[in-house]
Amino acid sequence: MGLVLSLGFYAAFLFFVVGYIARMLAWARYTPLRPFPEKTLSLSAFLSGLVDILLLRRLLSVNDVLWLGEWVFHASLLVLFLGHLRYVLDPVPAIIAAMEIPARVAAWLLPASLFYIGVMKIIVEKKPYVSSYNFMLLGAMMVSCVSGLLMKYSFRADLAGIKHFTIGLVTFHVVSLPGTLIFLFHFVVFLLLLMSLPTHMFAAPLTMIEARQREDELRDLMHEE
Amino acid sequence: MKNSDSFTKGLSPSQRVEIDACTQCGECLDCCPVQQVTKNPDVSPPEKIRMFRELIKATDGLKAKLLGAGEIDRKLLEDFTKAIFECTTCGACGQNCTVGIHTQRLWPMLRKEMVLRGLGPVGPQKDMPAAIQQTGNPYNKPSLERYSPWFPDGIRVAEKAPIAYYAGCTGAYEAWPMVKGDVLVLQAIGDPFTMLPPEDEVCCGFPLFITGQHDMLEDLVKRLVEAYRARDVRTLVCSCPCCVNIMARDWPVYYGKELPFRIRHITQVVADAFGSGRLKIKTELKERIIYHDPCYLSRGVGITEEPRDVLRNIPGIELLEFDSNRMNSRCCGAGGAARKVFHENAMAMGRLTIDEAVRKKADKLILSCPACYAKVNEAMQDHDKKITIVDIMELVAGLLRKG
Repeated sequence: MGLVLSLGFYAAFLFFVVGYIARMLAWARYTPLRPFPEKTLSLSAFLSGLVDILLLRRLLSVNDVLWLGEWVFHASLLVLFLGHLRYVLDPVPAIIAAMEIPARVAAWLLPASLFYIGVMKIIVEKKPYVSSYNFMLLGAMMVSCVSGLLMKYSFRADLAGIKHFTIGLVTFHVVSLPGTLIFLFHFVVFLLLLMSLPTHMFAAPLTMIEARQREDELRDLMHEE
Repeated sequence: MKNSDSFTKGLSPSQRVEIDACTQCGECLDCCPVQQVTKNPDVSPPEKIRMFRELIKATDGLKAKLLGAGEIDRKLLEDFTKAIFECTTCGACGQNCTVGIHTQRLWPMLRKEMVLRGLGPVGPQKDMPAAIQQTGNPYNKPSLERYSPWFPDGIRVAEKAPIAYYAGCTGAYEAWPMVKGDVLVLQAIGDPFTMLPPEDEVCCGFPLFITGQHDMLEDLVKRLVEAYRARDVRTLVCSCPCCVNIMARDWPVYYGKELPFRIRHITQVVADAFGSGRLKIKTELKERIIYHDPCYLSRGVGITEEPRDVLRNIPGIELLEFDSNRMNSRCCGAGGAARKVFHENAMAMGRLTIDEAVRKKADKLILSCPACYAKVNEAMQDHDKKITIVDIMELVAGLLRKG
């Protein structure tokens, strides 16, 4: 089973990496009509864009109610990701070790924010456009969160065995799977999520920075000295 | 081009990233004018992007790369074509996009992809290239009647001058009070200005650009730029936001280098003239007026304050604002060359503009776009609410004439 799951992990990871490399190559493909004059990214636009990314400022300006849930969701996801790095790093760097308490909080905030987003979109705001793909992802995330919490607080998973398995994965030494069914479930959901991560994960930060540059250029377009 | 060819060849790298960047959050539906009047999410911005992703997947996806692109679902192509051409390309969705997608530029480029496959344009849009080829304008009206029905007596047009005025097809054929106002105000400012002969002032290319029919663009642009260059023009003035948009943004691309003159919207020139004291209105106008920002003037080229500066120079007026104004203005329905194809949508959007102006107890609705002018006037016919619709230069010219 350890071998099957390990192969599944490598396949999912390869799918993710190759998929994004192909996507980035497609983004950069030659285009016959070039803008004139060619634009270069300014430092101020880059920094403003960075703030937009970190604070989800564009969402805040159009829907502050949803922003709250989305920001907590993205921040919790980042903290949880960093917290989970302790399972694949040995020795664990101090900064990752320090993430343990924040990660515990994020483990509760993440499903809470997902629930909040779902309720706000469907019940409170009754959004006319609901992406079925987004809701599939939201559901998978929720399942992953709940299984993670169950592993932590109810089933008391064999953490040492899990770490042994995950370190084996990243060092290409296949080891047997710890005998915890809930971990198997949690890990399979993670692999499915890895293969179906939304394309906006890497593309949206780029458009947010580009939007700042465009706003700067728009100010000058008809108002140049 | 075959339907199995890549759907992204004509897109810029930024636009390819934009297609992937959409989070499908649906927030843009709240500000989409087409959504406000149709309530149909199938033609909404995120649905257009979802469908276009499906088309890309069918031609550029892993399966297509390994096994070759098969026949693309005909219904998907038709649904996408309808959605992309029903849009007014007002860009409000992009202005409110949570990840900053520049939709006002993206939609026309996606239309072009459909045109290359023979699926667009739609309705009368198809006749535009032939009309422009024959008469120089998309309305297929005689070129020699471009100026004569509205051009005021006593206006002196110089053979050569640093300033040139471009009337534009929609103003010249469908919004006469507007272009008449333009030349009267330019005359009042006092700087000599030149114009091309009616048969030489051809379409700026915007209707072709916006409907995805790009074949003639380079020729039209080079023809116009060279004609103005021969007249020693340093500033080209125009009142049509769509013309100004393509002139400022795309003419350099199709001309292949920097333009030999700068582009100015007429409100910029007039606001400067008021600021320097060269123009002054003495007649008082004790009225409540409301100004509508045209999509391609505000979101298109970033001009929102100059029209208001012009209006504030009219003694006595009270300037009102629409709830959605400046960069967030709501489309009046005239945009995207959709007004003559999806007529009912355009009427309903125009009436929303009229209704809000009436609700705010404005005496006059001030416009500064010939397409808005033609469509909102049309929308008021057979509508239960009425308001006086005036172009901004028509208003200024009328007051200047009074003293």
